[in-house]
Amino acid sequence: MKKFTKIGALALASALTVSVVAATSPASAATCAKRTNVTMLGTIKTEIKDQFQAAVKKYNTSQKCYTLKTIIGDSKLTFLQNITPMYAAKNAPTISYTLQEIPNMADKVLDLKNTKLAKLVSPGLLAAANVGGKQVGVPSTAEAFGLLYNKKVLDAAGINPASIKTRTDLENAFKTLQAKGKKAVHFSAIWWSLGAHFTNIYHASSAKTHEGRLAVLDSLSDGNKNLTTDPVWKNWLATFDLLKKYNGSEANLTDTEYDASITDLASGDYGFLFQGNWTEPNLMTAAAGTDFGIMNLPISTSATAYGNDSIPVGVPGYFMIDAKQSTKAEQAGALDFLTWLYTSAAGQHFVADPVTKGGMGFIPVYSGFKVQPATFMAREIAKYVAAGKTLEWINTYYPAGLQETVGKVSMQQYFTDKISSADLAKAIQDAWKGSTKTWRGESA
Amino acid sequence: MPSARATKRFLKFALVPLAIFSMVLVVPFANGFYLTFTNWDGFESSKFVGFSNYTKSFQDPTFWATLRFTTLFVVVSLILVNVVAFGLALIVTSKLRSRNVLRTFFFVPNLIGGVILGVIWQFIFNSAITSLAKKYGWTLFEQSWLNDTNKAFWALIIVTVWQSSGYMMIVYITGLISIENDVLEASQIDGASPLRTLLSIKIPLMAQAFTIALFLTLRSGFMAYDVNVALTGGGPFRTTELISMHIFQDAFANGNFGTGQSKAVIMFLMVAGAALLQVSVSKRLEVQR
Amino acid sequence: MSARARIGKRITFGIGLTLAFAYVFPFFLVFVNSLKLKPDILANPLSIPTHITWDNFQQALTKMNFFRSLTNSIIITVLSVSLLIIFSSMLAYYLSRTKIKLTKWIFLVLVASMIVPFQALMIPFMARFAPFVSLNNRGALIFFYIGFGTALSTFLYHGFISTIPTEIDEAASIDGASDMVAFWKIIFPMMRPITATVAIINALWIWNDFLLPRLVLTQDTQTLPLSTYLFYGQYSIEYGQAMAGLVLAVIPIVVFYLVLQKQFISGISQGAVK
Repeated sequence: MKKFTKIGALALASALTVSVVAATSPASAATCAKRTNVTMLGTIKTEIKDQFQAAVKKYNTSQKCYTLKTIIGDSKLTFLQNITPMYAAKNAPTISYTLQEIPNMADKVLDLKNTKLAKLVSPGLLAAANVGGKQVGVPSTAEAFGLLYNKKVLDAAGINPASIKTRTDLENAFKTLQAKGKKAVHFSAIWWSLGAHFTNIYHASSAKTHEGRLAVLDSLSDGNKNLTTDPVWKNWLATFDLLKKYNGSEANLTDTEYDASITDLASGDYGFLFQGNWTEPNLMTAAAGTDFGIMNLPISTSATAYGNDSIPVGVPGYFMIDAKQSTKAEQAGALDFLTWLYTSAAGQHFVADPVTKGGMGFIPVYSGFKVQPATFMAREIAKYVAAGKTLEWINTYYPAGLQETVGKVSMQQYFTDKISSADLAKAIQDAWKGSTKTWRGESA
Repeated sequence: MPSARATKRFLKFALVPLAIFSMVLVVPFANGFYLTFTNWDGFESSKFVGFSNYTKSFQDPTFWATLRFTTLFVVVSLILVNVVAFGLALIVTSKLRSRNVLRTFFFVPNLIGGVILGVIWQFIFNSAITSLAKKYGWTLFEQSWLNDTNKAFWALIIVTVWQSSGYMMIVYITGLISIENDVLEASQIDGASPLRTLLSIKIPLMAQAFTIALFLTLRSGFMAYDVNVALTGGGPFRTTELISMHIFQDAFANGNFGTGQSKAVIMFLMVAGAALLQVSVSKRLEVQR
Repeated sequence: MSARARIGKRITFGIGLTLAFAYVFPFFLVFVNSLKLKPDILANPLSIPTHITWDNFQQALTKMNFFRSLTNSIIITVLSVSLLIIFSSMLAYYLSRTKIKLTKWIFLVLVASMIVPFQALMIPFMARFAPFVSLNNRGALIFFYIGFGTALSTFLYHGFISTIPTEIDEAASIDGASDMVAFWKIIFPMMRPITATVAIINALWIWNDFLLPRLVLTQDTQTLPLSTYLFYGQYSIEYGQAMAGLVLAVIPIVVFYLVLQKQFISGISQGAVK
């Protein structure tokens, strides 16, 4: 059941807008003979690592059975590059956290189907971590990406984001900003934004149904998809060109780009930035008192085209618990920690409260949350979700390494005018050709 | 047939280090070599596949591109690091009063690990230099060097020279100070110019230092990894991936352990060939003096 | 001093000074930025801080668990380097003084091993030593460093020992000293300059190493460089704290270098009297 469908969106909407009766059970009050050390690779993500570490500390002092320890991964390496040597060293972390590499991990981790946590999430949000009926992981949060905007700048220019319904509207908004002496958009060349998120705009809009979108992946894998004749591709490409044309920043293909793009949007010199809501904590720290919103990136000139009014919402990662090299006690501890984090009042504070209050600012995906997101951008995402205006994260199904191949090579080459649009289409087709159809249950 | 005394000598002086060395290096290497002939997936191997991992490696066009790029990098960095390092060694062994301070300064880059160093330089190339360039209109630097394959190559070279020349300087200092003073004084009395002394006395007398320094730079050139990952990350467009990074990428990012390990063996053979050639040539030059 | 020599000296000094500036500038940049807040760093990395903040250092000290990491780094580096010096100088002495086929082959294998890429060893290596690592990970790491460092250190010693005339050994053995005593009392002290070089080279490598400690050490035994990685995210970098952490991590090794540099100078002057 691999679907992020209306059910998922609905469940998310209910989690966001309705606060269900508190399901907070105190974390195991049992006394233990001795503490068991439980390891976790990484801290979910860097942006909120201090808050996450604070949650870990709180958890460790809140009970007597387990001590959770985080292991710092090498940030320059991918998830698989980090974890594979650890498995080889028989030193696997009990908890790991990833998205694209889930198929690679499926045979090494526990089935979480019958856990309390899995029952609190809608099937739609569990789907991407369901491999052949096995629930490989449980979600951390929901995230969205699209056009972020600086509300102050847009207000000053008299632009109402809700009125931007087509690509033409968008170009007009860009022109208005420029006329006011602002830079229209920071279009980031960072590889993962291009390789995973920007390509997803095409894939998520490529067909109206989930099955139709997977069929596009099938034909890409089989090598018989011709992107250049696809009208959605043409619109997507035109949007790519539009963003390039109005991009107010210098192309920067290296890792310093991400921080630079956040600084730009926060500075008030730029109106828009193509990114996701995970930047909100950083934006709020950089420009306290300014609201940053999120809106759809319309790729079609027709307001009613599929996906034009929607933003991609999905689960950025799943927690997994090692089954091969961890003891029963370690596994129990791992589950206890995750359950504590998402169901106890203390844990929920760290999950959903904004960064300014010491939380991670996550959008809750488990029912029974007492704490609700309070930031401007989170509320905007909630509105999109409630209205059913969400697009699928097809990039969840990208084969491991593909977003890197595409993002670091062909997308950045097109970004810097090194190749033609026809070359780009061919490069993406070539990258997909022959890839394992994990979305059809083929094993990685 | 070695005598009892010789055996005892071996046991006393060589056994422990050689045993540790074999356990840590020789055995795992042999094991890894064996695995390239199996269908190893990083966790287990179940059957022999002959040379197929090697044929696959050679059919990979990016591997060839990486080999070309690595060779170019090794040659250029080898030359520049050693020229600069020898120059630095001459400066800090001259009669300058500030020589000790200078020597400390030249060595400072070695105190930082490669990854951190790469981050600093990424920052310099992307932000510091470009902002200066815009202010003063230096067109060559207006675009970050890391956005362009050729310039990114030179960025790698600059950082490598900056980092390792201080290290090689130490090797050259050791060589320069091992030259007996009376030899130098004799040449001075004979009225030899400083350049003449350098070319016909100093360099020949410290040939050993050149052998070592060239070998070390050759080796570190082929194995360069930290700076590559942290500075260019293989970019732009994966055109600046050196061989170590390529292997790591192949094995761990794409999960091709068989070809990754085979490429590591190929890399070993290449470096072995180059090093053997370099050392034998240098040794011959040493003997000739 | 002749006028020409003076001009020559001035030119040398000029070049030296310019180069020295280029060599320390990035270092200076790190220090300056460790005193600034992230937005200021991103806005202009070259600017001098208008108001100095020590907040980065405070954060870095606690987050890195500085003193524990420092202790770990010192233990691991000092033990590894000392053992490496002992073992490789002995091995080099043996290989260079015993001229038989076997020693030639051993030397060749050692030299060849220096070019084995770590990637080629990493996985088979880790799988083999896993039980050992879980028993005592610091001990295991030191053992690995001796294994990996033996070749280069022996190579450096080997080169130096061949410049020491064999007459010295012979004189010692005539005096009735055993092999071991002759080596430690007479030969080893003569190798001080190369010992300093071996120590510096190995200490720097071990101190700054990342890949191996990451595979072997746990949170409680992590080294300083490992703890500085805390500030580098996949996407975002805490520049201010990272720079502060870097300054903190570098201070001990700078001190070490300055101390050993004295040894080095004494080695130089000894060479001069000889």
